[in-house]
Amino acid sequence: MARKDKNQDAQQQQQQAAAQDKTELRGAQTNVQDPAKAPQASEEQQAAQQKIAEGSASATQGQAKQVTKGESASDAPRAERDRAPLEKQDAKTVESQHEAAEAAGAKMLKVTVDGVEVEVPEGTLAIEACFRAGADVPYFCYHPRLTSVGACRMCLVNIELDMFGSRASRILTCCTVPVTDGMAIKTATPEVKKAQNGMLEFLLANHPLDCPICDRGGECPLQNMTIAYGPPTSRYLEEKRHFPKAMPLSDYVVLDRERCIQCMRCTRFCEEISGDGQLAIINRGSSAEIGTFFGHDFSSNFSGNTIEICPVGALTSRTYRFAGRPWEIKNTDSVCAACGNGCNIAVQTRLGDLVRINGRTNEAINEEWTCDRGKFGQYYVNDANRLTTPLIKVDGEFRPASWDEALRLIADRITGFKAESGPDSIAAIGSTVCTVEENYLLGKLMRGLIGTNNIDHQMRPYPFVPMQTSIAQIETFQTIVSVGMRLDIDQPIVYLRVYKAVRKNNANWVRAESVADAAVAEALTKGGAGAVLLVPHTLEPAEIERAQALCEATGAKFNLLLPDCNSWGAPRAGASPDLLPGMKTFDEGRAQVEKAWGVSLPTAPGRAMGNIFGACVGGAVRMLYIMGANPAADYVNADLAKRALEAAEFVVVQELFLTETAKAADVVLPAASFAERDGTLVNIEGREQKIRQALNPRGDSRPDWRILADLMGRLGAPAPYFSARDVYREYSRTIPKAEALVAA
Amino acid sequence: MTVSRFDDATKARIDELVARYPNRKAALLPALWVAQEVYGGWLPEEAQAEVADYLGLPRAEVEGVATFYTMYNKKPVGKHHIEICHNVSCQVFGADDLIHYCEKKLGISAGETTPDGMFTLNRAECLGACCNPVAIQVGGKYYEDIKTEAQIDALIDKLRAGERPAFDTPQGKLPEARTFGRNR
Amino acid sequence: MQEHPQLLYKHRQVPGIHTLDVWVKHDGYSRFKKALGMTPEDVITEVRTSGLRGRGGAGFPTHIKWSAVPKNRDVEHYLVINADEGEPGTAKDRDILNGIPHLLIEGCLIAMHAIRASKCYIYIRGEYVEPWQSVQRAINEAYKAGYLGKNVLGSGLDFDIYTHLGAGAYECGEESALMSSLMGERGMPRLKAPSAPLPMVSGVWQRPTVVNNVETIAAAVPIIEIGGAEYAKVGYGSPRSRGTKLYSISGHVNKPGVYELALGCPFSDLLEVAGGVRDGHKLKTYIPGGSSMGFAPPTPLDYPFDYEGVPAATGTLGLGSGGLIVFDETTPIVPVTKRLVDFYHHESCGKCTPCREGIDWLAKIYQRLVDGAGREQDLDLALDICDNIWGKSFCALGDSVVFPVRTSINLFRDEYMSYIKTGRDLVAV
Ligand SMILES: Cc1cc2nc3c(=O)[nH]c(=O)nc-3n(C[C@H](O)[C@H](O)[C@H](O)COP(=O)(O)O)c2cc1C
Ligand code: SF4
Ligand code: FES
Repeated sequence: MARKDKNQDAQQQQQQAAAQDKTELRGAQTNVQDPAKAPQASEEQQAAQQKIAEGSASATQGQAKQVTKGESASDAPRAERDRAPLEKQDAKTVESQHEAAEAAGAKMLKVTVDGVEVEVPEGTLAIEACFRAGADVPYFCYHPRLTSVGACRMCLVNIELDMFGSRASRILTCCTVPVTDGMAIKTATPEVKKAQNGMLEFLLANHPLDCPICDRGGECPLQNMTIAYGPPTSRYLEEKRHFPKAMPLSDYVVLDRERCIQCMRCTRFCEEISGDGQLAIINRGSSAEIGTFFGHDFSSNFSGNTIEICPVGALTSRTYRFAGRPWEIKNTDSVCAACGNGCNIAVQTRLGDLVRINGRTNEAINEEWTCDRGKFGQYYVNDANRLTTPLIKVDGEFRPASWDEALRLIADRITGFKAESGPDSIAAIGSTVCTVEENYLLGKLMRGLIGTNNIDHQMRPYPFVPMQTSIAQIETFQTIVSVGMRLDIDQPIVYLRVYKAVRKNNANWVRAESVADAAVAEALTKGGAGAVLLVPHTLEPAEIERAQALCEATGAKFNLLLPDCNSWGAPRAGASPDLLPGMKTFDEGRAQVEKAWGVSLPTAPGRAMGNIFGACVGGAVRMLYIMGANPAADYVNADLAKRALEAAEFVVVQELFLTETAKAADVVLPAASFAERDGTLVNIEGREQKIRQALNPRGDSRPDWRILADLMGRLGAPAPYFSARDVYREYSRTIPKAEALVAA
Repeated sequence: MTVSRFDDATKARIDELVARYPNRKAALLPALWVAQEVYGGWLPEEAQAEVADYLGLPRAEVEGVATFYTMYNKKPVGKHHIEICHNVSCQVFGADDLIHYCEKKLGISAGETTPDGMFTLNRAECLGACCNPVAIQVGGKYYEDIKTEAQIDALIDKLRAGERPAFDTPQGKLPEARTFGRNR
Repeated sequence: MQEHPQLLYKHRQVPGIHTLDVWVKHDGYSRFKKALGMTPEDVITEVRTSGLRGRGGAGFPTHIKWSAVPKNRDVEHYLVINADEGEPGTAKDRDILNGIPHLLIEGCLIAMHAIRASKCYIYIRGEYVEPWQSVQRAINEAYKAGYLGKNVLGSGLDFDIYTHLGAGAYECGEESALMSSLMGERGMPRLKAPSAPLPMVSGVWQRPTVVNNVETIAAAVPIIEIGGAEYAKVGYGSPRSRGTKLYSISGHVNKPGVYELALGCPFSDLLEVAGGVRDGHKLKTYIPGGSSMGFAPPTPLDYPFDYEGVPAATGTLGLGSGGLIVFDETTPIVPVTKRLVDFYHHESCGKCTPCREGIDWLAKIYQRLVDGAGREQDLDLALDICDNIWGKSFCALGDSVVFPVRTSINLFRDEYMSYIKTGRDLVAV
């Protein structure tokens, strides 16, 4: 319905309402049909009515005001209480789900919440209508991404609806009841208040009062609800239920069963979202507890999410345990650097340390989930073994050096090699875990300053084939074929979409070891355009080609999934021997880049990775400049890489740790981690996202882009970059046009 | 997992049960019954794991189900599992006293097993034999109208002697004394 | 005493009636044949005319359930028999399962025909090993005789009945929890209307499902035999409570047992068939229909015992499942109520807060009361806890504890006070 109609409607209703006695206004919309049903007003109600009456009166004088999609709840003529942050997030999630449904043409239904009318798509739950109307409803077990169970009974409200042909008014859990047209919800009648009060008293009866030492304290829905709705005192005298406290479920998750309120969010997550069924309720009744099978490890790659959705401190993080209070923590919106999926995360820091990583909502990518690798696997940021100062190797031993000394040495050697044996005697290795800005600067250093195309980043050769679907689209396919991967480990968020398709749409998920498996061709043929093939970059190039051909023949979509957080960003920034920034060939991009940089680009073809190493061994390449890569361990032919590192006369490595490659270097430059710098990452589907600096770099380490900028300055080129943003600005001017790699 | 105790006959039995339902999961309760029999009257971790794997269910889910129902034993039980109903209809006919008598006689508390592994004693909720209190169940057999300590003595003596006293629902309640074979 | 036609128990005392041969000799399966000759709609019409209401406890009109099932066979329909009988004081289904299993099977066949189901699961509580064996044996006989199987009696229809053994959970008697359990899950209740579609549209395995109590289904047999109109003539009370009902009468009576009486007969009839209150004692209170109905005061005795009469006259929840428990003056009411609270505590599935935590709290209060550590305000606290549970739990199990506690405290406050003041019972046992 167009907004104009809505307003007309609203005006009409307002007129009707104005005609009624002012004190009856609270029920204006609901009681129009049956004024006799107007409840006996308690003092509290009268006060509320007064407020509403005032709101409505001013509304009738000015423009009619109705809460509709997109408008903020504070426009509603009702007493407003600010939601706790977690509930705000859920309300936001619901809003975006509703917008999507409305855009997809869902039927819209009219619902009245405490006298405020909202339009919501069919299939909405009553609690979600309450959110949209700006009404506060306490809840624990409801979660916008899980099926409703109605277990905690916290969200009881008065619902008036048509049932079995007659109008009934009942106390119901609004998290389970789908809205019907004309439904009227009251969230604050005396009866509802008593129910809420009673329910919280029940929940707190056996809940330990260890809030001061609970990691959830300060960001705990149970605390929040208790303050807002709970009884001020407890009548519970009895001994509380006891379980051994702090039972580790895995290296990451610790369980305190005394605190559990049996909301089943965690078990539903394991069943519905991650699909591993690792958690279950054991025993029944008041001795029910959450657990893994006979206490075995909670071995899911998604276990950390249960910590975030647990509404109490029953599931907490072992890595975050006692690391800080929520209000002391600095939150920085960023993007996960642990794989190529690009989950949106909040990097949480306290006193210069990374203390926690939480998921952040992005409907297009991770919804609100993260994997354990992202959540728990990035504490290396705090590692005491991080490099904190530049190192220069003298007689086979590293000794600390100043940045000035190290950079001067590197600049001198570059100038020297270039003079002695030409620019092509120098080669660089870019990084799939460094930002777009950094790879761009490395490319500019090599091509623009030194004058060679010897730069690459691929640890094994694979073609650059953009994904033909977005991550989110994968869940719409009826046939999904994955080859040669543990999808939940290798591409966690893609896995979640695949599992969603399997669970919600009954999709057929075929897992195969190789493209040659008969099952692959069979499934793709059967699935046709409704099929998508997921292959890892680790397949042999010939197999990748074969997979691609198979998709072309069957009409299935082809998705080559790359491994690292910037696997797409590195070539896009120009860290490939034969591609310029923007992934342009020399023929396409030369003029534009030369104009932007004000230099002429080298013409000799660059060497790819293997060729670089070969040339090191053969002596044609004498100096290696390696940024954020560890070819001695990661290159397909690691042996060749090691020999190359040995053979090269001068090796520079920018790194976080003294890796095998760094050990072989002549100069090691300490780099900043993903949490310590700004920049741009491109995820597997080609989406550019920003990471943000959450911490000061450890010790004397520096962001890679700054190291490169300093070095460029020493080589006599003006490098006026004061931030990663400056670099990005230049990069975006250099490339022809930011081209979306995401299909559709 | 340790060695499987599901032999081909067991698997065939479970397969036959699975065939009754539209999916494998539905056969979980019957399959746990079979496993409990195969594993000697209780469901250790291995038994639950074996059922889970055989039916293709997450193991934790199977533990959740096995622990929900009281008749799946989570620890070993004796040869004779004596369960005495203590709900109201039996309570008012002295069920509690009989339970205490049994505890004394067997030297164990309700919920325990005698050291010789002969008897496990438990309290039971309403056994649905309210009209003939006190009701006692021993491994699926009901003994009703037990009101005296002498009756308990006789029952335990017979059990100890290896006898399973006949199905003795009081006459008049059932038209004829019947014996039941295994029909499955 | 009024006349009580024996409809379900017509042949109950015939020796060997649990066998197919004897059953068939006494008109066995003739009602099924008669029903097969009718259309499913006609069968449902007979049931509607009969006024049959669910005998499992809720008293829901059976024909409404049956006619809510889609009138096609696009997907499999299921009939599920609730033989979980766990409500303390209720022992009537066991008698059918043990003694006249073919009555149930014949009823199942009639109902399956009416709702166009070809599969039926009889969910029997795990403790009922002997009844289960009895039913399974009868099923085997029926398969052999061609009443079950493919193309039964040349009708072109297939009928299969399976037994499914529970494993010790009262909650699985609740219709939706029973469905969970049948599907191999924890016996936790499922969402109901208006939150979810009716089971008759989407029940077990998301297919149309009717769940009925053993006795309800058994009653279909006499209804087809004598016709719905005749059946509706049986009964002395309300026009909405027709036919006969099985009562399992236990507690302090001279002749406890299961009896078939016409609905709406005076309560005194029930006492009379059961031989009256134990000799030398007098009635103190009774539970009219299974423990969750609560305690009734000892008078009046002449009200009509049916779905409407019981709650009106006694202030209890109602007729329930027909499990009458009689208590004489020797009964210590606090421990008895405590036992019931403990029962519901033990059986709560734990899914919802009020049932899990509320009953847990009540159980602890009752423990204190009998330990002599009760306080006067505990009684009002207990009543308020009941208020906070009532109508707010996920399924009716939470509500079940409310009436026993409420009625017990309201009727026998002085006994509670005795415990509180002296730590002892008023009643010397
Ligand atoms: C906690 C609880 C336990 C129940 N137990 C039983 C039971 O053991 N047997 C039964 O037939 N109905 C039981 N019921 C009633 C069933 O939910 C349901 O109403 C009945 O099976 C419907 O069958 P009917 O319409 O034939 O009565 C129980 C209900 C509740 C709430
Ligand atoms: S552990 Fe947390 S999420 Fe899981 S059921 Fe308990 S309270 Fe809910
Ligand atoms: S949020 Fe509705 S019952 Fe838990």
